[in-house]
Order: sequence, then structure tokens, then C-alpha cells
Amino acid sequence: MTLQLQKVYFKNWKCYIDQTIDLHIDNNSNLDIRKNILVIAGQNGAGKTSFQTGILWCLYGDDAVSRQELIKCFNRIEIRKNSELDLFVRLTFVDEEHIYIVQRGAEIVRRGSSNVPRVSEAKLYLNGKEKSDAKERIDFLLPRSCREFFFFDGTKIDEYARLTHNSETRQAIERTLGIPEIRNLRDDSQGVVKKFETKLREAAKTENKLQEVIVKAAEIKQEIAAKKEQLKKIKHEEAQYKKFLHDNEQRISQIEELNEKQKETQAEIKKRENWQQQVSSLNTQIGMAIQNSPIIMLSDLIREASEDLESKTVAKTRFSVNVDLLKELVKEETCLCGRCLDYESHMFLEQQINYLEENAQDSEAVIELTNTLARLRNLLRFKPIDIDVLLEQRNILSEDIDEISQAIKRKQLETKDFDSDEAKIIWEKQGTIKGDIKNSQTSYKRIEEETTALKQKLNQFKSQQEQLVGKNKHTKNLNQQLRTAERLKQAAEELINWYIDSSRNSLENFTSEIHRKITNKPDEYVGIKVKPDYTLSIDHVNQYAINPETISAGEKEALAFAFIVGLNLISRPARLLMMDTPFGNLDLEHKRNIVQYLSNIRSQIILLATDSDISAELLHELQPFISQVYRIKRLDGSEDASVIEVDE
Amino acid sequence: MEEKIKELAKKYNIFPALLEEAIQMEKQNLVFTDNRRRLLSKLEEIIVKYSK
Repeated sequence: MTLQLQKVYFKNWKCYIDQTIDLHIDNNSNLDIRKNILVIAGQNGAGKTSFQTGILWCLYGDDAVSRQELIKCFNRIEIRKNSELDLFVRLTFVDEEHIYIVQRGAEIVRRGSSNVPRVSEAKLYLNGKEKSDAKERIDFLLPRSCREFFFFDGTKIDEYARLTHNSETRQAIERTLGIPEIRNLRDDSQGVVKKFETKLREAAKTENKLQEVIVKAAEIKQEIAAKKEQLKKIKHEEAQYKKFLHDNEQRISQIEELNEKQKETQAEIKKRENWQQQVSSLNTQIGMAIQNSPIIMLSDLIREASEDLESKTVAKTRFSVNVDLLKELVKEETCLCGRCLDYESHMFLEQQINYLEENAQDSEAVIELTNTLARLRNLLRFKPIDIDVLLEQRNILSEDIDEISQAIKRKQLETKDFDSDEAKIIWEKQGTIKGDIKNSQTSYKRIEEETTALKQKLNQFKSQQEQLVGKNKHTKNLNQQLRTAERLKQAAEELINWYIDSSRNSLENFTSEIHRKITNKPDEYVGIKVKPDYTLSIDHVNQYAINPETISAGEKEALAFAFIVGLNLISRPARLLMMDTPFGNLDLEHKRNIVQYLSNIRSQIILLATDSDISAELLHELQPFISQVYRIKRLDGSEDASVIEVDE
Repeated sequence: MEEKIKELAKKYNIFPALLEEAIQMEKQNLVFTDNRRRLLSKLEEIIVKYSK
């Protein structure tokens, strides 16, 4: 079953002066087979939001548009021409069996010096017949408390993830899931049982024995009901104890984890000390290397010096040879002529010899220097320590020390509340709680046995009752009806429990499946949990639950979309989905995922969008599933009016 | 749902149609939740019908 919005009519509603738009999707009434999407395209300010607001006002009146706001909803130009202007909206919905027409109007009236809108109540026609309870029926069709699930605004979609925290919305979700009718059946069948009991007692007034049996049976029933209440209470207590037990186990596990972390911290502190020692040793080596480093720097200088000395040594040797020759020359006895050297020349030569002899003495120093040079050269053969390697080692170790220090600090912060005695205390508490659980179970068993005994007793009375009522046809029939009512009540009690669980599970499965398809983190987010109060949490692949409040706005939008569509898929009937600015602020990947998923929704989908909301690429992907595209066109500037036309 | 109705009808020895009709009645009259008495009469009628 699907509920479609077939037709919309606006009169003087904002920019729509007299507009009818046919939105019916004729797909051989089978929306499961595609072409379920309608696109109403228009630029900003063309009238898309006005279109959706008009529908909401028609359905929900003041809840959707306040009186103050409504005055602005009368067409601006028309209201100047006619001060008593009226506006009107009519919606036609269809499902497989029914046609629902919902309409609402308002007119401007003069009150004192100002104009105020007078709003009429919504009217609802079911298959052409006006119904007196329009508001309730509209709430049944499209519950106002969760109207955002059918008419949603993409720019606000991240807020919808939190809507389920509201009790009214929770009730609306249950209404969408079809839970209240089953719950009502359970309550009504209980009422009917009482009604038949009263009738039977009335009918058996004249038959004392039967009267006595009925009264006793009623007393036992009351006792059984009281026992059932006790059993329920004990079960609830047991559940509470088990929750404490579970919470404590988790706390113990946390404490053990903290203990483990503390041990790790100690080990890391030792490791850090070891590294710090290594750094200290490296620092010493680096210091020594720096001390020895002048040798390296001087090596070139020494080489140059030695070469210089070598050349000087050769020169000195030459000098000493020259001196000997000159000495020979100035000796008189060696002169052949006695006139070859005059006095001045002789003196000059002697001066030269002295000079050369002085220099010849330097040659001894040269020899010494040569020896020193040789020794220095030997020194050069020693390989110096590679200071770069040492510095690199020290840097790596220093970085490691910084890193481990941060880890130590973090762990110390995490374990600052660690109390090693807490675990002991909790373990002791666990013992007490386990004892409480055992006591609860014992009490439960005892009361259950008592209830069984009472039921047996009741059956005996019932048998007696059967025999006694058999004597009178009227009481026999009443008794038969009472039995049927009792069985129906038992069946209804079991049905509602099953139905609530089953609906929530289905909702959880649908939401999880949709979310996996549209999220951009399918490897991280593996499922959605729908809690009994219909709040949500995300299951992480590492087996922990993520609170939706902690995820990004885009991810919230994706989650809300998954939940809304999940609810739509499971709801009976499946309702239409009207999406204004459908993708809000979602990124391209999310948008693409959602577009690909839209075709899986069996409901009528109406997208109100600008060209930028749905890019050409996305539109191309949507194309096979689009039933019709409409364009909102602005008329002449003086008219303040738009018209919606089918885009051929 | 249909399967569950059949299962419960068998378990509590009632006609599946009784349960189905009762649920249908509740669905159709959901908006009248403020008028329980009227619904009890309707349910009573259904039970009488299936008790024959």
C-alpha cells in the first residue's frame, strides 16, 4: 500500500494565485517498479518552499504556519486589490482503496485597525464523504509529530537525527509503524473480557451454585493477575540487577585496562630512562669528537706547511754548498794571483759567508720541522670519529624520547583516576548482586509455581462452570463468548510484544541497510541500532557504539536520511516523501549514494530542487526513475506570481 | 504478520479470522481512540460472531 499526493490546488497562496498541479504517478499502481520520482525545479525565490509550506499548512494548520506568518501567505498583489481576500489549499491523496481530499481556507478580516487571518478547520473527505474527525484522520495518514519524515527540508536534516528524543515523535513513529492499533486490541480485548464476565454473573444471578463458582473463579483470576504483576516486577528487578552486573563487569574491565595501561607506562618510563642514558653517552662521544675536530681542520694547513718546508730545505742545502765554495775562494793561500780580490770584495764575500752560515744553522731547525711534519702526517693516517652519524643517532633517540614522553603523559592522564582498590570493591559488590539475582530467580520460580497452582484451581472452577452453564442455553453461550474473549486477549498480549520487537528489528535492518549504502564510511559504520525509545546509535566495525551527536553534520544528514527512508519503507501504508533542497549540505559522494538509493524507495518521491541541488550528472543518474519534471516559472515582475508547468 | 496470526490462532484455539477482523476493526477505528466504549461494542460483536 502506498499513499500518493495526487493533486494540489492553491488559490492566492503566496505566489500561486490559481494553480493546480497533478502529481499522480501512474505506474500501473506499482511503485515498486520505478518511475517513482517527481522533480519540481525552480530557482531560488521561485516558490519551491512556498509549495511545500502550503501543503503543510493545509494538513496541520497553525502547527505548521502561525497566524502571524499566515498573513504573509496571502498573495501580495491580490491582497492590495482586495482587502477581504481569501486563500485556499486543497490536497488529494490516494492509496489503493481510498481517495482522501484535505482542504483548508482562510480569509482576511478587519479586527480593530488591523487585518488578521481567519482560518477554517481542515476538512477531510474520504471517498467523497466528509468525515467529522479530520484532524485525527490526517494524523493517521501523515502524523504531524513526525511530519519532517514525509516533508523534509534538506537544510535542516541533521536536526532530524535528534527528533526521536521527543516522546510525541516516538508516539508518531509507533503510529507510522502501526503499533497503536495492536496495542488498542490488547486493551480492548481486556475490556471485553470484563464485560462478558459481568454479563455472565448477571445471567447466573438466580443459580446459586453457578454464582458461587463464578465469584470464586473471579477471585482466583484476581489472585493470578496480582501474581503476574509480582512476576513482572521481579523480572524487572532481575533485569535491573543484570544491568548492574553488566555495568560493573564493564567497569572492572575498564579498571583492568587502566591497570594494564599503568604497567605499560612503567615499562615505557624504563625504556625512556635507557634511551636517555644512550643519549648521554652519545653526547660524551660527540663532545670528544668536537674536541678532536681541529686536527681535521688543520690537516690541509699542515700539508701546505710541509710542502713549503720541503722547498725551504732544498734552498738551505744549496746555501751551505755555496758557503763552502766561497770560503775556499777567500783563503789567501788558495789565490793564484794575489790580486784577484781587493779588500772591499773580500769583506763583501765574508759578509755573504756569515749570512749564509747563519742561514745554514736554520737548516737544523728545518730538519726538526721536517720531523714534526712527518709526525703530523702520521697523525693524519688516524680516521677521525664521524660526528654526523653520532648526531643522527642522538636526534633519532631524542625524537623517540619525545614521542614516548607524550605517550607516557597521555597514559598518566588516562590512568590518573585509577584506583586499584576499586576493582576489589566492585568484585565484592558483584557477589552481592549475583546473590540478589539468585534470590529474584528463586522468588520468580516460587511465584510461578503458585500461579500454576492457581491456574489449575481456576481450571477446576472453569470445568465446574462449564457443567453448570450447560444447563442454561443463555449462560452457555455467554460462557462460550467469555472463553473466546479470554483467548483473544491472550493472543493480543502476545501479538503486541512480538509486533513491537519485530517492527523495531525491521526498522533497524532497513535503516542499517540504507545507511551502509549511502554513508561514505561503509567500512567503518557497519549498522544502526534502533533502541526501544527509537533513539539511534551507530555500530562501529570495532564493535563499539557511536553516539550520533558526535558525528559530523554531513554524517548526521546521512543517518537521518537512512532512518527516514527506513521508516518510510516499513510504514503501512508507505507514505510519500517530499524533499525540499534534498541533499542539504551533503558532499558529492553522499549525494551520489542517495541518488542511487532513491530508486529503491517504493514511495512517491517529490524533489523540490534548484539546478545546483541536482547537478547535470546526478540528474542523468536519476533520469530512468523520474516520472515527470515540472518547472516553476516566475511571471511578470509586477504580478508576484509563479506557475508550475510540466517540463516537456 | 499473517504467519504470526495463524500461529497465535492455533496456539490459543481461536479462528485466525477473528484475530484478523479484530485487528482490521482497530485499524479502521484508530482515530476514535477517545471512544473506547464504542470500540468494545464492535469487538464484542466480532467475538459473539466467532463464538457460535
